[in-house]
Amino acid sequence: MDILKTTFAQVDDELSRIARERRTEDLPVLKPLQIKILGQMSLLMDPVGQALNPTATRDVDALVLGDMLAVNIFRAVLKSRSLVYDELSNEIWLPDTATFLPYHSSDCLSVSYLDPVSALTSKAIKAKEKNRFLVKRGLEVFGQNLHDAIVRHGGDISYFKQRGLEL
Amino acid sequence: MVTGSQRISPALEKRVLGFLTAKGLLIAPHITPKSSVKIRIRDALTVGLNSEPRVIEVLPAAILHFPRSFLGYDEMPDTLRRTLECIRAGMETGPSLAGIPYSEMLRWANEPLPDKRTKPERERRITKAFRLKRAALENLKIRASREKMSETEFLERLLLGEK
Repeated sequence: MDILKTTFAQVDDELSRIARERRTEDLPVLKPLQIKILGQMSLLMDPVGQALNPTATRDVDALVLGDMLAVNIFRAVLKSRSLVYDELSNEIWLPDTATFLPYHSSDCLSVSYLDPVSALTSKAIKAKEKNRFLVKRGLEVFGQNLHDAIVRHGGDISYFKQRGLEL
Repeated sequence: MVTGSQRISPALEKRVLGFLTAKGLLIAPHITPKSSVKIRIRDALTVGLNSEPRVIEVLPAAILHFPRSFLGYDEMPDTLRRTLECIRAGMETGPSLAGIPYSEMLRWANEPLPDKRTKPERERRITKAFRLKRAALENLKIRASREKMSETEFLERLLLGEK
């Protein structure tokens, strides 16, 4: 997805520039920044996840590991693009089978995203109201894999077969 | 009553999502942005209840930022009306809407939008009249002028403790 591709390219550029400056000035180099994208954005990054036509708010859930300077650059780039880093991302529940798929890699930055079945399982267990139609579409695409993952983690499959709510 | 048990037309869904995408409230790569359409509040709720609950999450923010882009205020459900009143009043708690917590709707109402043309709800200024003694008013003018600020900016700085 364009907005994420350009965001990570900008973070990479900024980190590369700082790495060059530090090398020139004989300062310690920054550790490569690791970003693991979770939530709705992870579905937008995955070719099969995109087929579910996910819609996202501007919230970015991510596990971020790196020097504070690099983490702050990531936050600032998100903000400059009106994206909002969710500071509570570490609290997002993930199934024990969760894996991360590579998206962007360089000397300064590595970005990966949560596999779509795990992303949908997490949503089905922890945020079913907001994701009922998405999980329903997910069940059509990922079939038994997703069904079994939801059931194994205590989710209620029948909820995703119901019609909507009323106001 | 707006119900979540009806089939919605793809055109209606595209229209509602297209508007919210164009305004930067949602990201939907499969949808063409439509910035200059008018949306019936009932239609937005129908899409939220039948297809994409994130529409409900950002709907209060959309109505507060772009009130003239919405139609059908007289048909607005009471729960949505109460949610909007709470956000306008700056309340920390309020009613949830179709399973979406108030805190999430409040959050998007208070986030700046990408186009920077509309102000988040918490940054909007509210008119308030005071009857001050002449001496107090003169003092306010002098002190604000000394700081090269408007009187409003000077008062805000005093009240909010900003430097």
